[in-house]
Amino acid sequence: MSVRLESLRLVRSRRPLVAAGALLLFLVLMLVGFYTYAQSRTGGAAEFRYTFENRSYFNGLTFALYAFYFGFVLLLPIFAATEGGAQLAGDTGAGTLALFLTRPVSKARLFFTRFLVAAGYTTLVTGLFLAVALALGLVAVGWGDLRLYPGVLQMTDRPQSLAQGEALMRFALVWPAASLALLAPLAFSFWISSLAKSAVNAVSTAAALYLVLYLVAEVHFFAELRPWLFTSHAAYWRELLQETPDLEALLRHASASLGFTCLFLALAFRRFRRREEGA
Amino acid sequence: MRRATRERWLEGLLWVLAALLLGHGRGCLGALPSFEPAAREPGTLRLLTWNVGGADDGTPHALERDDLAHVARVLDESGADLVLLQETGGSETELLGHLGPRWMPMPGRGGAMAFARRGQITRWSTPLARAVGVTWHIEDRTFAVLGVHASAFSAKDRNRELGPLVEALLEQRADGHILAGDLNLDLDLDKRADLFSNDLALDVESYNFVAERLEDAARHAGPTAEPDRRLDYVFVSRAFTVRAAAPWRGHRIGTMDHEPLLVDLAISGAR
Amino acid sequence: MDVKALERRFGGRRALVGVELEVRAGEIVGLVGPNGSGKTTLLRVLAGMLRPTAGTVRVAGFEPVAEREEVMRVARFAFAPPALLENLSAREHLEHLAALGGGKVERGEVARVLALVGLAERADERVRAFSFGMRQRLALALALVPRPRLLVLDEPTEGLDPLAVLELRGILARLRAEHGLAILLSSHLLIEIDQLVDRMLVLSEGRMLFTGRPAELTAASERVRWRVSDAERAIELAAARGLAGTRVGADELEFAAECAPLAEVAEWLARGGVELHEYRRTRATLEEALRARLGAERSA
Repeated sequence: MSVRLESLRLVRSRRPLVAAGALLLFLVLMLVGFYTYAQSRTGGAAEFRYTFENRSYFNGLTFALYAFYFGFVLLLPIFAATEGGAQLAGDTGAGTLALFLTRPVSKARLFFTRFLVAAGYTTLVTGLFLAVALALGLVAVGWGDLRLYPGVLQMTDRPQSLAQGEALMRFALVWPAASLALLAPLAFSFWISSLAKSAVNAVSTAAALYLVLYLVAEVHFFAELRPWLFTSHAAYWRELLQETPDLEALLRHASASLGFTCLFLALAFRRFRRREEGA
Repeated sequence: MRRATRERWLEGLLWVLAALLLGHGRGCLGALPSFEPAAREPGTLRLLTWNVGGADDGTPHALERDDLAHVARVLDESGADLVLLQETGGSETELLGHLGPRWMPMPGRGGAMAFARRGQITRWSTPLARAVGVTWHIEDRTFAVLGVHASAFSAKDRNRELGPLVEALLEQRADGHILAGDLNLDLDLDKRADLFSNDLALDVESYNFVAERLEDAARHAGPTAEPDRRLDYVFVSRAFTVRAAAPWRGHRIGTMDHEPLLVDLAISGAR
Repeated sequence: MDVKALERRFGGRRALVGVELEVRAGEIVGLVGPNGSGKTTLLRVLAGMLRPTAGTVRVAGFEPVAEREEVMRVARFAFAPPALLENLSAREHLEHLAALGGGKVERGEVARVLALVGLAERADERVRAFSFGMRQRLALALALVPRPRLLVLDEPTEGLDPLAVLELRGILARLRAEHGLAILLSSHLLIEIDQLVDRMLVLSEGRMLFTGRPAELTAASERVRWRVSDAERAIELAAARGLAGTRVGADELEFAAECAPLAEVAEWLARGGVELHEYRRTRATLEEALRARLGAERSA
């Protein structure tokens, strides 16, 4: 019953609309950038006659991949942070948490119902984003095989190619894998939300910390920290687009992502169940 | 069970799951692989490439006498059959003195040098000033090998150099082809370079050109130079199967940043 | 509800000290005190949202912090100001929240309660369009579905118009009489407390100032006033009989409540040549009595 209530609250809030609008705008901007890049850069650098990039490289699947990858790294975790912030800190700040705490429902149920609804929402947004990116790419840019080259998106270590049909099936698998990876930043935002007293504070803190950790992982000097940062494991779903995915690596990264999810959930739940309300 | 106790158990379960899953997942970004010279399959050819960081202009990073002894020791202990060095810095004769007569030298240009412990090597001309091209005769086979030190300062230069080099290598009639050395292309997979510069675009192009023609033998080996850059490569043709490939960590020279990169190759029969 | 020697600290500050409270089935107890006296803190302790620093709290036999769910099966709390879910309608509030935790809601109960609180016609509008008074009504409705054994209301009359206040009094009285509910309500409107509650607890700076029936608080303030023809002479005559009076007007005197009855006073005043025009008993209002108590507490 509380899942229905939380889902109703989510649907009636403005968050899904804002997320959809932002993602659509992002995709349109990516399309513009992608298309102009394709027009101007095919044929390689002026000095290098041994180019690998030609017009066939730029198709709808490549566009979808670029758009989803950059959206996954920069946008989707922000929406995850927004959800976490709204779920706990939002009710705390508005005083509506008391509405639930004065009902015969345990804090555990309150907490995990909200996380379940937030996780479901994040999964839906991810799937929608991917689907729209694919649809937009295929309609606006065109069909073709997915060709990958090392370096650009750090997605492969050797030139690879997936037939269109196979690539589309792999994209379908990318959806659950990427959604699982997003559980970690979502759980992280729940933890921050359990500490904060207002949604604004929770969302801004979670988003800022996520960006800091993401950037730290990018910097060479902190290379040894990477295994300990949940942001380092997030993009493991790229492995699914290899010709022969390394299943063991996939499993390990998925484990790490889930592990971080459980860690942040443990921290958040511990805080939430022990804290006093109205102190 | 009281509600409070149930909630504590639930929290405990989350902690346990976190520990188990993180423990399992930790390995995927864990310790970097390091080459183990002792673990060698019989019948393999072992190749070593190393930027020893010397210069012949008297600058402070010129190889010292102790450094040369260290280099020789590493080459001896590595068990390598063929060695390609870069930035030897005019110390080839002294280095040979440390290595002894078991090694057959072949100096190249611009600090590049080849040494063979097994088989014979003969030189062929390369289109780059910092390269050494050798034909390696071993076990009734002939392999074309190119040791390269690509430009450290200009992606454009690297982009310009690598195409003709690869073409020159592949033009050599041989049972197999090997391109190795310090290519200065920092494109490793675990590094996300979303700030995509023109330099990176050119390096990507250069790498892909080579990778489309030859196999990157050490692509899972991790960084080869401090702090976490993969700059040293071994590319091999289909004649070879890669049995092992990794930097041999802990053997850098003083404050130099490169580790020696070792590869064990089995001859697969394809050409 | 049974509270014994309750203490609650926030750091070095003692928000509640030595509070004792009992609320039995079928009675309405008022909780009174100025701002910062600890009323809301006490209610939050009763709801299990705050842990007592010392003392014991039992609601329907359960300990609120460790057994909050069990408490909430039999008790209903409505805090002020009413916090509601802006995007839901009144009906949705009742339907969804009442069902939380497996609460059984009888058929038609939601509609009945909405009618009871006067929200039947606005039941399907989103709460964001509600006035403060309407939100108060909805908060009350939420507290009644499903019907609890104990009802705790924080400032339930705030924001309500006089007619609505009257209706609320009627509802609470009926709940007590017909269903034997135990009700604890906090209020600043002492006139409501006076007319509705069976007992009251007055807090001041976290301490109990008074507990008992409202009449007991005002009883101490009861006085007798005489309006006489000659105030000076009347005081002399009274003093001769051991009665100490004070002059409160040109022709009015005030004596303690235990002074002699009307007939007796009239007789000996008349014998002394004084006419008694009026003899009446006066009692301070609850507010006046409370103010006097608070003043005495502060000067102590």
